[in-house]
Amino acid sequence: MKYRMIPFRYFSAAMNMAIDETLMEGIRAGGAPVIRFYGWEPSAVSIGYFQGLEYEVNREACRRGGVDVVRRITGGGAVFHDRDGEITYSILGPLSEFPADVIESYRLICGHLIDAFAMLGIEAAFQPINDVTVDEKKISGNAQARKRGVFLQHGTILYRVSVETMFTLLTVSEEKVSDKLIRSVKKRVTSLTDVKPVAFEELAAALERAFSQGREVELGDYTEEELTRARQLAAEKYSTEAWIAMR
Amino acid sequence: MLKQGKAIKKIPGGKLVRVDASHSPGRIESVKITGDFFLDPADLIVEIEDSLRGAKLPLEKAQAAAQLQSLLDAQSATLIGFAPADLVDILEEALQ
Repeated sequence: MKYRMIPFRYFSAAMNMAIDETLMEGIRAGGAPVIRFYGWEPSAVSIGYFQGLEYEVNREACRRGGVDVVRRITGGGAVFHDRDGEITYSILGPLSEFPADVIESYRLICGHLIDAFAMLGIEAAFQPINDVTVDEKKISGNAQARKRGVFLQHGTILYRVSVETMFTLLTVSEEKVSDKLIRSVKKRVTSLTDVKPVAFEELAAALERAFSQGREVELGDYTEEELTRARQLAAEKYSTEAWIAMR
Repeated sequence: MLKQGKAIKKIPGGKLVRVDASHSPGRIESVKITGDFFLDPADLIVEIEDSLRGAKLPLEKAQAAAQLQSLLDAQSATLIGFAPADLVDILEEALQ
């Protein structure tokens, strides 16, 4: 199948989630599969579908920092999407395009991320269930959903990380954020710029190349109809308290 | 008289699961399951919570786990990050 690949572009948190759902609707209606790259403007925290908002997010700190909060349709953990600190991707298509086994499908798509890092001269590894690591430190978190015949996996690649900022926004199992905790997370999380000086654009280009390997891909963009539908979903679903604070 | 409790566990090789539960003498009144696990179909989480509400105490753990498994099987669900027996253990702890 020929994929539509949409290059990196910034959207708000609610729009990013709404675009994924809009594209899923399109694929369900027979549209081509899609690979998209995007950033979050303003910076945002996303939480997994099953997470309790109050247990995961310091909303007051987010408000003060102008950081959006959104709930994903995918499971997994809370993520801080720094506007200048990461690239997120989504890959969407009919279920038949992807392995039925969940871990195998993570392995396949995380393999594209590993290929992209290899193009940048960095050795990365798949760490089941859903992480990619460099030197055993997490550099990418991924999550997927399968809804009525359509597959979605999205994930984030850390370009530059501030663990301190992350911890002002996220609540960590009710423990007080201590220097010790921050040090231990710094030992477990890394970002591209911690490993090697690589320009943001180089990472974006490597990801586009890696996701194109072994696939028929055509560069494209969102249609006006998609953006209109996504704006509607962003307003009526993803930016509402009913959705964000659902659990 | 309603008693409220919670329990959190990171499953080794799996995900973090938190259970908030309330119970009256002899009966579970409410259960909320949160965490960074994966469940497909996602809506099934509400059915799972509902199925545990009203369960008699002390909890018949093997029976509760089997019931959860049959709920998953009935919808060909995929649950990643914990097993039904893990959930029952955490629930029991939350009910203490």
